Amino acid sequence: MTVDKYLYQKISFFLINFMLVIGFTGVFLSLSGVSIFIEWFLGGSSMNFSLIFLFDSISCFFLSVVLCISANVVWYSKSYMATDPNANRFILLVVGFITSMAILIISPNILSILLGWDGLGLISYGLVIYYPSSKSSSAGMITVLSNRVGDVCILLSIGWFMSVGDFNFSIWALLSNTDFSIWVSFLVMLAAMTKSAQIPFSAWLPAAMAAPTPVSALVHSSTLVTAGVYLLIRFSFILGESCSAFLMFISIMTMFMSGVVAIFEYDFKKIIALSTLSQLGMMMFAISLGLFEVAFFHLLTHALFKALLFLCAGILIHGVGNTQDIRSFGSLSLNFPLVTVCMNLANLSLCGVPFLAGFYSKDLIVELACQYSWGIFILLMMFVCLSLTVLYSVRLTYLSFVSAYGGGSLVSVCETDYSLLAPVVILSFTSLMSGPVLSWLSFSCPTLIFLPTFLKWGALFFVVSSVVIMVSLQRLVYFYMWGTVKKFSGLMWFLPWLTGQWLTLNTLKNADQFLKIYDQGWLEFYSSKGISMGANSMSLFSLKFQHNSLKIHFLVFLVWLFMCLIYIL
Amino acid sequence: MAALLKKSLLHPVLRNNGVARLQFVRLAGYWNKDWKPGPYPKTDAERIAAAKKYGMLPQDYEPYPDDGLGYGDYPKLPLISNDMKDPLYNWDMPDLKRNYGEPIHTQYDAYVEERLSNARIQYTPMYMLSRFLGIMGAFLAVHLLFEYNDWYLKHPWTPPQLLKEGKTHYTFEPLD
Repeated sequence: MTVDKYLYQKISFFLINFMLVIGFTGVFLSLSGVSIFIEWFLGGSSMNFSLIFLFDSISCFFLSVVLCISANVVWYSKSYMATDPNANRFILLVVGFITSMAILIISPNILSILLGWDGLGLISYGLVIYYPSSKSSSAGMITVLSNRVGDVCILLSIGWFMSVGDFNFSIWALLSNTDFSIWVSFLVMLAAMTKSAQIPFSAWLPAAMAAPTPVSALVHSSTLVTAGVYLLIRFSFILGESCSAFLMFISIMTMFMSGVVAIFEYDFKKIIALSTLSQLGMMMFAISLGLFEVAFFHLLTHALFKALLFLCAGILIHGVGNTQDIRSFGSLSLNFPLVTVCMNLANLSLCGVPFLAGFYSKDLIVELACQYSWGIFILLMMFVCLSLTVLYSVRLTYLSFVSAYGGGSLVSVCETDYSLLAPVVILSFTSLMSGPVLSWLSFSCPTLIFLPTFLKWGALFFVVSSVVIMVSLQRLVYFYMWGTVKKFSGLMWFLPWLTGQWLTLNTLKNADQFLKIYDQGWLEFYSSKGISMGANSMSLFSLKFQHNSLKIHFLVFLVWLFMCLIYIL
Repeated sequence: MAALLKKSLLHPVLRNNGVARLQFVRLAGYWNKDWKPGPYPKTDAERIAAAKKYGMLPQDYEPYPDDGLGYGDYPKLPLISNDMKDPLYNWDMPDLKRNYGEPIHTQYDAYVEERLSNARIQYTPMYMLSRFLGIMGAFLAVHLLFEYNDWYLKHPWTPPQLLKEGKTHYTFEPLD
């Protein structure tokens, strides 16, 4: 129970107003081509401290999207977390998360980005371990330790930036010939890969679905995971040719892996998490091609429809009795008509159906990638990943809304709570309008792309054919075939075990031996315990001369003091 | 400052419904010398006494070998991680799956529910690593094959504008 009855509504209202201010500021800055630096300066002689905030079109658009999603999620949480006894802790964590994200977005240099970056990692840990279960604890541990690798990479790159002279990316972006060492490029790229869950750091994102659904909608779909993409967009000058080539391969494999695993997954939220992973791979793919503005555009549109998808998922999960297994769903379109419409809208955007949000951003990436000269393998994999996105989206829709009902009681299987529905409807409209509006604002001149006919129609062909294939497969076969593929994909290509237990097991065993032999053994003997034993024996030796006489004790002290003074003087 | 401290200690949100969140006194329950295991038991009487001390049957009691890296008379228990213990058994401490007074393994803290597990796994570590690296390596090999053999997607180009008599030809050289 919250302290203030209207606390969630007040926070949501404040965020909406802040979003409108920032949004209109972003539009103004975008149209005028102006960036605003707000600086607080302290010092003046030999030591100078300054805190700078950067407001340009990119930071204002991103911040307004984050605030829009946050406002809707907080409003949604009012009802979703109403019966939770720790609702105060929840809202404190969410507000702390939004603050960290805002600091990350408006930071012009890597030092203050680190403040927001570390804050995001720490608070996301607190949110993932929100429910008191061992599963949440394990999930939180893998989340925070994966993010910690990225934190270390950023810390190392800060040291590097210190040696080259400036931490501000806005200054480096103005220079035409920036020649950075491959190591700092690799470090920044690795930090982005950990946050955005690219291979081999992908295990934490599906595990983090142990968090409450509003947390997944805010944190694990649109804000925390996109921090890595945002870092690379801001530090675009740092990526050299070799890092871009490496990132291209990793992002394509992440898209492929997450698409294949999502087809064989039965947990509702995990399917959506894998879908997020796939789209993050798409954003990283765009960055590796040098399409930074397009990657940012896809980041914004994806954030909106993915948050919508998670909120719809929360309503459905609540409705069928808090189960997340899609085999217990089915025929929910009859009882949840509004949620069905909104979820289908989000899914169709995700698939890139023409004139929805995803079409503007995803299709642009695909067509621009076709326009470049890359190996046929990359193009083929890109279209395959497009198909996989459609396959798992159609499977999700079919098993949730079309197939026969597989659940238990039908008592609460209906839409009643307007606090849950209103944010869903608002996000649906926002997601619908975000595609065209953001494309008009982001790209001043429309991009003319000339491609051969088969490439131009390629994306649409793959989307339509994938829909037909998956609907046919659902009717004919229920995936009892391909046992080995199913096991391999069901265990997420063994990544959780390889990057979790396997990496830590031998290290911990060796660490235990090290602790016993060195830390609690020889180091104790020679340093702490050894010094104290030596001092003890020396004081016992001196006590023999003193014969328990206080006078001689003080005389010895005076002699020692006199000798010290002689030495000093 | 005083107002801030007062707010942090007495504010309802931070008090967590009456239980103060901020604790300034740490728990002083450190490991102490009374918990130190005894010396390695050499005689049968010492073994029986050690087994009784740890609440075990003498026939079940076995200490670690005294090779310099042992644990004195502490028993060498079978390593069973917490996730492998029966969740339906009536434990004294169900969340920890422990009974009161039960001797715990020396590596117990590494094998709790949220950490390591020595459960039987379906595939060996080498199988899992080889399959994962094999798939990634296969895709990488195909990718490199296409990239370094110039097997690109060839777009239709306009014909190159070569030098021709009677036609103005621009070279676009910068002015010196």
